[in-house]
Amino acid sequence: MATAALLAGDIFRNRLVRFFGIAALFGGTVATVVAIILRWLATGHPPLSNLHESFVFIGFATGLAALVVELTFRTRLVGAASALVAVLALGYASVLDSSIRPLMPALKSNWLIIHVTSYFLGYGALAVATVASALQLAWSFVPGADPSSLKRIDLLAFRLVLLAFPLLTLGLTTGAVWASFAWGRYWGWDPKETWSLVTWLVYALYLHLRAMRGWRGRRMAVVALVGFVFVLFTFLGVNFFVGGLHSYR
Amino acid sequence: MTERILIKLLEKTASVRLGVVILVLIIAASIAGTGTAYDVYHSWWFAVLLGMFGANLVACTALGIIRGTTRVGSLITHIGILVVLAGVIAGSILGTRGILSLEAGEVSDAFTTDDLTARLPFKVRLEEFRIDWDRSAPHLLHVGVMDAGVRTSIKVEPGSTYDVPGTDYRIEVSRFVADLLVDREQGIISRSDNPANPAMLLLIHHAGETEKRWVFSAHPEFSMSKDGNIDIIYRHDAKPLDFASRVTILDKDGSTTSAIIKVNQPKKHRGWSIYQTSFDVARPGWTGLEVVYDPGVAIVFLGIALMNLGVFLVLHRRFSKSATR
Repeated sequence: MATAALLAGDIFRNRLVRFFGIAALFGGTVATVVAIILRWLATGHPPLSNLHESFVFIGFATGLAALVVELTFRTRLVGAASALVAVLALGYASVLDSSIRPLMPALKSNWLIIHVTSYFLGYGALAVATVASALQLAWSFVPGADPSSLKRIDLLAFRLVLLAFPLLTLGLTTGAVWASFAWGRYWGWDPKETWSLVTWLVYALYLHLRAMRGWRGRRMAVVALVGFVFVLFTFLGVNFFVGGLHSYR
Repeated sequence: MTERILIKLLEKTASVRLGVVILVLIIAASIAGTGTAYDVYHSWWFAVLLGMFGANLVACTALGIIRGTTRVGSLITHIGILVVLAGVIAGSILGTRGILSLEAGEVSDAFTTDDLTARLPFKVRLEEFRIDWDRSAPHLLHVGVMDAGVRTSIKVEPGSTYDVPGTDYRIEVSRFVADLLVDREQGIISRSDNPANPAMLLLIHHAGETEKRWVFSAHPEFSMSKDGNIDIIYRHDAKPLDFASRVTILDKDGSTTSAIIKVNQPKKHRGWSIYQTSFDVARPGWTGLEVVYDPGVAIVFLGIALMNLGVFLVLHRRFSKSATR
């Protein structure tokens, strides 16, 4: 609903329709929060322990990031497309096994909350950054595209990565601290650890190429898209293709 | 003069282009390492890459300080990474780790590390090892009936009888054994009530006849069937909710310390950390503890704190000024 209304608001430049879109996005995000809290109360542990719960949280994080972007940047299409990504995440969550199982011993820790929450909030921001970068890239090939709006969307993607990076850092490092308490080693080159480090390095590269080498526009958008491929592989690919200590399904 | 040479050298080492190349190589090598049996991460050339990365970082941090060009946030982040690397090196030089395996009642100070045995500066006695199992896990029967072309899964409880939908088979769950053991004299017994080797005795009713069939969750291949038309696989994936070792630590001076060691709840003693790492369903009362002496951990944690502080400062700075960069 939010996607349709934001899209229509963008296309027809109708403020009322756009307002309805933002309200729908807000409503959807709040409803997801309520669902997460209810599940927490029902299971007695933070609902961040399997794939279903993860996708619900990522849907929430993406919705939140889309809302923030829509309210602060007012960049056309980005909010609408991001709301669609959030809906897809929630839709995928709904077909996954949602049965409640007790928490396995390694997950029984308060580090679970900070480690997983910071990662998923970061992933939400990066999902929206990826949407922005993809739109920017596509737009840049449209003849007569307005350079100032291209610049604006470039800046938006950069700011989202900048916002996500401390969250990735917090997720990565609290993971190491937690592993040190749970498994007796802060780093073990477990596939999930390795891929999350690689993802972190790719976004570090993104920030350095921008700040130190002055990259902008298409090149930067491509790096952002590559970065999100790494996010997806770290989050999902490792579970399905590689395995290791982190394969929670 | 020497100062200029030094700065020249720093500039070469600190090159962003070099940094990017090293990072890309580290990324490629790390990815390659997750897909092969070859241990990339402990190879000499990976250590060289990390060393070059460290040198690049040291150089650009030093240059940033000398010229005053680096912002506080990125400076702290970079120093944080270097501190983490220093902690890793300290740990790999000064630290040691190994497995301390104990049976209930056993006292030992010997742990194994890379096939060698080393000794702790104290002894550990295992008083008790306990596993809390998840007893809420469902009992599932995956049933296939050949002639009817039926494949189905049935959630069952001991003592109840179930129709196999679309067929005239009925399955009665006559007995459940949590931890099956075949004893020469007593026959089938349950070694404990822990679901370590779950099995069920089924009565399969069909066409006026009844077949008795044992099915084993951990060993489906052991199941013997008279009626080859019906195929049943039993699954009861009970996982441990918690496992804990109750130990007493005996110091050389005669003092003793009691502790319960769990996953996420290690015991620290005289610079050593003791972690609960393994259990063996076939050996109740046995525990696998990992003992770690790593003076680098505190340094790594300090580096981690600096990294987080640094990246948040970078973020804060960027968002607090109305930059369009």
